Amino acid sequence: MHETVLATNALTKRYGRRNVVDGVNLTVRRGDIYGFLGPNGAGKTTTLRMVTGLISPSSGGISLLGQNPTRSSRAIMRQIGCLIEGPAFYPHLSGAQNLCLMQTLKGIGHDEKEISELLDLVNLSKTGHQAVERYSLGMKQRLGIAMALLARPRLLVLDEPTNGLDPEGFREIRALLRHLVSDRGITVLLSSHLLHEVEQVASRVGVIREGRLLIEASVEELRHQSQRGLEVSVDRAAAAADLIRERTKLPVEQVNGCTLVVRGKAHAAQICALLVRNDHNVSRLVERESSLEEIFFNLTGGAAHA
Amino acid sequence: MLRAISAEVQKWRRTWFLLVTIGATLMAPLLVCIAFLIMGRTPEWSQVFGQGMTFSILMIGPLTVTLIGGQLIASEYQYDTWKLSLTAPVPRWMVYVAKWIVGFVWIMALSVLVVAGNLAVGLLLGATGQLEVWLWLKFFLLGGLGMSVMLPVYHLVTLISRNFFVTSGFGIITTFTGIFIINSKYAAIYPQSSILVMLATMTGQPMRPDMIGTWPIWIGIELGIALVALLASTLYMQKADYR
Repeated sequence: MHETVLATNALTKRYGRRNVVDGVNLTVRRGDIYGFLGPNGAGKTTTLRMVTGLISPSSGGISLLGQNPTRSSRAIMRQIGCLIEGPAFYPHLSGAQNLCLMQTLKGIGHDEKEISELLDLVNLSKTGHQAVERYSLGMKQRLGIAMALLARPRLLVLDEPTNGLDPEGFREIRALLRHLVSDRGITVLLSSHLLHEVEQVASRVGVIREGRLLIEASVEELRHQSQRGLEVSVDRAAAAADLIRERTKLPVEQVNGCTLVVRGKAHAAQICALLVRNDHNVSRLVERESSLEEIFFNLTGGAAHA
Repeated sequence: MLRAISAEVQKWRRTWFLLVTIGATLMAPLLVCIAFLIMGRTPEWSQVFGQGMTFSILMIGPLTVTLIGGQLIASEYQYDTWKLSLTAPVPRWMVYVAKWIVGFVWIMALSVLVVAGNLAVGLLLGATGQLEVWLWLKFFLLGGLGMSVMLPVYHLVTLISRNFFVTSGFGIITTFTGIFIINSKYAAIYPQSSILVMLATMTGQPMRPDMIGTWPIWIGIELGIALVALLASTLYMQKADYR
């Protein structure tokens, strides 16, 4: 039985007549790296702002670590670390001083050892005592993650944490998230509009579009749901497609004049034999399955890189 | 509450705006010094402090309070740092009240500073007469108390407008209204001018002798404004969405 760290129940946020978030039911389980995916403006950040108490829901409920995080009882927030819509700091203070300030706000007292460890963890130990106004965007993102990790939270809520990072920065953040889950037992809720970023690190994903959660599943389940098929390179693709449809009753998509894809449980040898027997020249036959990107593309209506 | 106040103090150390408020506060004694140097006569201690009080409470003080009140809130919007305080395990009302306390204490500290500044000017000019430092300190602290009435008003304006420009415009208008109104029959009911009317009466040089005896009304208006603005700002912080 998985312990639920975060659950939302028909969570809705309305601005005027528009439902920016519309009845979202998220379930984040302990140990998950939950990828919260959706195009820009889909409602990801609004959802995360409600989860972290920055805005109040119009209707619906939130359960954080089994409690209802109302604004009057905020003790639960000590167990949540978050980085919402980009990092924010007091620019005249150093990275270490910003961390110290947050330690005070979190009520954990000044702990120089924790600050050193966190700066080390995010590769800022050499620059941690410089004023934040001199930091690059990548350094600020990493400091933001360090700040979210103060007081060893049980849930880490990261909204687009790799925005503005180069590929090396992407790789570092991915490695850090894996480390946090495996070594520290932290659960991560990670929002992103970059599928490939989430695909490589997430164990479960939720896809949101126009405020509605379209699907919530493990990455494995999602892959399993994906349609398998045979990609066939053949002369006279249109005739070959008609032939396969007629004889096998399987759905066939013609990609172009010499390529087609046979969906469903197509047997490669049978399809090849059928085509050869009917004087088609088969130059290539490959088994393939839809990538997560294609699934995401279909779900979000064409916003795979939203 | 203590940790919210402590965090607030940590935020503002080494900021430019603290230095600006110190510099602005010391402008009043500096103006007194320049005025007496131009006149070319040796002032009495009561003149040094009296003139210093006029400059401080009627013009420089209100502008400084505008800066403190506005900047404490506006910089959180400017740096996008509300989300740090508002996602911490501290109630929202406490985050705001901590800001109010820090602002209030800073205004009172600046009131002491301006007394020290006037003292330095008096010594520099070789002021004559009886020096009653404690009495003037009491008056300036009362002045600081009176001026801090507007602190939650500036907070509220900044919370709603979400920037310092609106607050600074509002502060300039209210300050100059106070200067224009000081000699009118409405002087006692306008927060910034009523402080000076009250203090002038206390120092034995009443600006409006006809208004003596109506102090409870003045103080009631002052406290009413402060309490309503404080309550409104706290409620706004508690209820508003941070977007």
